Amino acid sequence: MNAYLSVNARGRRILIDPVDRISQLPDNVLVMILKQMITEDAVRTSVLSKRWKSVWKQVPYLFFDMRYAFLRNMEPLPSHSNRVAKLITQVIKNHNGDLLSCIIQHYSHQCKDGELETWIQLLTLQKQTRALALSNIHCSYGGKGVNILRLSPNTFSHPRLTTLFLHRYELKTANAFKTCHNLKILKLENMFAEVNVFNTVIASCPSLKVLVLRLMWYNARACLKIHNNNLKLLHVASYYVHSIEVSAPLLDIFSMDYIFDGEYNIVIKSSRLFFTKNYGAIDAERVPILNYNISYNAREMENLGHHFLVGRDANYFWRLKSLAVAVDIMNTKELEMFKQVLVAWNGIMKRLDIFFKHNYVYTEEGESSIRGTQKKKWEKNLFPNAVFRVEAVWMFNFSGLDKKQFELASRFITQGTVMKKMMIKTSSVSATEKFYIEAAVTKLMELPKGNEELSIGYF
Amino acid sequence: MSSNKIVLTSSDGESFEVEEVVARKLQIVGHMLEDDCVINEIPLQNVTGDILSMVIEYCKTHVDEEESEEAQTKLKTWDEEFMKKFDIKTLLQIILAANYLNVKGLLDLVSQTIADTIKDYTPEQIREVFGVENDYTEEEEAEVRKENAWAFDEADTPKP
Repeated sequence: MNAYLSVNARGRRILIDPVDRISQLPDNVLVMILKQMITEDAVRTSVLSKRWKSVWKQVPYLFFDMRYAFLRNMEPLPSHSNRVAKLITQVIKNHNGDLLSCIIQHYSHQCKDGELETWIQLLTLQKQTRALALSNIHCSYGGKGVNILRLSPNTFSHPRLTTLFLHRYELKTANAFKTCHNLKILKLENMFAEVNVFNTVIASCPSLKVLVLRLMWYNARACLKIHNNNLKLLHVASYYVHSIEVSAPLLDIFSMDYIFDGEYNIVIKSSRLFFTKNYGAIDAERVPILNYNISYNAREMENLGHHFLVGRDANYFWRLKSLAVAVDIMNTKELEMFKQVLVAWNGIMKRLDIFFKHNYVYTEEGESSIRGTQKKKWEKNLFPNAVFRVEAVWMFNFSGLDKKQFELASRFITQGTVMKKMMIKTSSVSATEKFYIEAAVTKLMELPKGNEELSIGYF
Repeated sequence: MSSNKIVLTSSDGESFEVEEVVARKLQIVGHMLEDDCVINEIPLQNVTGDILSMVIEYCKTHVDEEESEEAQTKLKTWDEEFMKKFDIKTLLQIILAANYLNVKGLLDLVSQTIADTIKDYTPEQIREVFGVENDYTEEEEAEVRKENAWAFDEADTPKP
């Protein structure tokens, strides 16, 4: 048989192979290919031949968006959404199980007709889905109460379910979250409820490591309470908050984005968040700020909070304007994590506070390992992201004798990373330290500046 | 790291001398080297010389995991150009080789390229382009469509 030429959809000539090679690929390779497509396209391959009938069922991700489902002529939205929701149920049932994640974007009708609960039950009990993201597509009509999430008690407490994202629902009770020791990552976005309901939800999930909240509650004078002994990352966004109470001893990534209603009160108890003491009131400028104690996070094996932060799921990133980090830049892992945060940052940062840590006492071995290839790697990896820009950098605990810190500062200057201002703390340090810092800063000032307007000073 | 040379031999007896760092991009080789570090010639039974040479070309280009944005963009452009060189038959041979040799980056790249081709087509076109023979009876095919009707809902009608 001869191969022959055809023209594909993009008008590119391609060589058609009469031998069916693709069907001969092993299942795992076909699944690799199908994984790169949206669920619809992957499911559609089932019709090619018998070989393909069940390949899509092994793809560990499912994504459904009801907005893209075909609307039949003159079909009103409720009956349309009801029909499509049933088709989705069927696809979930057909899947072979062992799902890593499932995302469903549905209309508010599914909150009422029970289909939403059917999906969740199917996905958690039968398919043992690890991560579940449910999003209610906003409808402009329907009135009050259309977005209420009506679920049975313990709906989210399946032991395999570790990640849950909910978007645009109203909660009347916290029943669905009863005894959710399984949840490690919880994101509640644009959620409405009485503040006590939120407090119960949070208290019902004691294993959480990552908690992202964008909440609205009716009774503004109440207090949102977050007490959790495992929490590593917390983001709270809210409007017209009166009072927030956080107690989380392991928390080292924290950010807020809020509008306060007159008098307000925030109490944060977390020994790792250095900034609360050093910076005074965290809301001083009302600039959404991210505080990250990298030095603590780097020492742990798992770094779930860090991965969440630099991954796609931290979609609140773009609203934040400034960053405060505590980091030991001599430590390659910490430096790498610091860099990942800056790379993930979108747009121009307003202010960057760096608190230099000196955690590691370097032994003979440690010293030598930073030489040679290690040293080269250190230099190569130091903020190669020339695109990153920050308006002002404030440096705390800067040592005039530390070559790495000097190197970092000089790159900030020469690469044009810092646009307006670089400030170095010399108040409340000893006279000797101050002498060394000033000597180092004199050298920094002589460097060719990437930005002409940059000023360097002390505070 | 030492610039030790390793010889990789294909199923049809073609030999390629590459630096150890390049050979280690093939995880199958990496594992062999960990087991016994004195090997310097490795036979690879499931891949022919012409395909192996392309895998090696990919590994050589990707040997330095440069992290600067500029380098990343350059690599991405290179990847795109690299993929354009091959027809579907070759792509399928490369993906099989990448799977056997366990070259993660290449496996992802070729999967993406093939997926991009498939998603542009209707099932009928996929069958034609890839030479997939439809062994369903009409009833069976209708049954499969019905079973997964959600995915076919849109495909059955012309897009606006």
